Amino acid sequence: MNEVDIRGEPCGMPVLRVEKFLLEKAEGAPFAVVGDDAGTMDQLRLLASRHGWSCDVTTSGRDLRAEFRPRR
Amino acid sequence: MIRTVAAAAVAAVLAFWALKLDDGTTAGRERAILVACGAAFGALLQRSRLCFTSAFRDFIVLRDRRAGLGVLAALAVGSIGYAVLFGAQLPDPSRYLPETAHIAPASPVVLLGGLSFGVGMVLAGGCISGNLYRLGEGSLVAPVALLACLPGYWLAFSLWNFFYVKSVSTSPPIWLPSKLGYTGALALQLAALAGVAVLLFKKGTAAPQPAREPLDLRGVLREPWPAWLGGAAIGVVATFAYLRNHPLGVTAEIGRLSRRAGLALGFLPVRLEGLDRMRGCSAIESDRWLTESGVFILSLVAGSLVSALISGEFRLRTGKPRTYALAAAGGVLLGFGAMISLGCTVGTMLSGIMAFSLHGWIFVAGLAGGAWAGTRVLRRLA
Repeated sequence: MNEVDIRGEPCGMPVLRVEKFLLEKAEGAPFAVVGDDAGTMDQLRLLASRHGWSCDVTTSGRDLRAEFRPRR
Repeated sequence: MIRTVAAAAVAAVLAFWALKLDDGTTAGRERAILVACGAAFGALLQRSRLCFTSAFRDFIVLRDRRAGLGVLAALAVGSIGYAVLFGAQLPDPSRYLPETAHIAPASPVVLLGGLSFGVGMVLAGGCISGNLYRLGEGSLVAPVALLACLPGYWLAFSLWNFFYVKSVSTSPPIWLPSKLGYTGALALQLAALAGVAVLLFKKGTAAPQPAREPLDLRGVLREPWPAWLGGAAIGVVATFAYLRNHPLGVTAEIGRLSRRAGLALGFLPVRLEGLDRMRGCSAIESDRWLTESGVFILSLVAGSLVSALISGEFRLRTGKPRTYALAAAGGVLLGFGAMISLGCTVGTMLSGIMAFSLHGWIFVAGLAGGAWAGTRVLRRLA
């Protein structure tokens, strides 16, 4: 599964990076996002729903991991 | 456990500092109250993740209306509170302006400042208060953005006399109650805020909520609060701060330190026309090592730190090289915008609009345009 690392990014930029990945590189395949900010992960849920994807966020050690999957 | 002990220690230091500042004089008591206001403000921003940048950027990018509604709640509650205080302080609003309230010239320069600040806050990942509360959460990028405000201030100081002569000096402050009375001004302002709220509800999207356990006390301390609730609480804090003659603002101390440093380095004009008479977060010279504004922002950072430790969100966060570069570029624009607008999203937007000053609304118009432009830049860089 492809992985996008948004740790250490300021607010705003991660969502735009993930959106770009989702639209231009994911090609409909599931991918994961690793982040370190709960607020940003919350916004990724909204991003996913806007584009018809699902987004499940889990903790992964000290980080957070969001798995994006296209809704069937 | 370690985090809880650390939070208790920081809270104890804050309480001790407040007691130390309260030396029995009126000024000492005011400073002690500012510690409480700053800590409450920082904790509320952290708990509700109420970032003034998000209010604009998240709506532009995601149609996320939550932060925007939080800001509107703060402005509505604060406007009602200010109206009550103004009515008691100055029954006839047609003759004088209320003392200490942030009512500044309604000049196109404020629009320019808002534009600069709007681009800067999107690039830097937060406005000045946002970077201050993120500093409390352990961000190591926030200090870069805050330090980069200094060259922005220097650039603005060097252009201030030009702006003052060409525009600021001929633009009067426009205080809505002097034209409409308190009832009319409050009704107009609440109607404008309600209009923006309707727009946010019509064009915005409801964020999907993850499944959560029913809230208990632990949950209240650990889970984020709704932005509207944090915003409403900030409106109450703002009203209380103004009751003690200190409208909320975070940039006066940063501006003062920038001015002092620039003068010491010899590249700022010695005379900045009209600046020391301006209301708002203007960089007024002082020989004290820490002014009331400094007390407020240190307490803000400490309040955010306590809240972040309790909620488990404190973590030292480094950034990638590009993150620091964006923070630096954004910081310069934040400093420039804050200086020529006599404040930032707190001192000009919150305290200006709550005080029914037109310059607060002009600043917001600039912020919206700047945030839109900044988001376009960020989208290209993503």
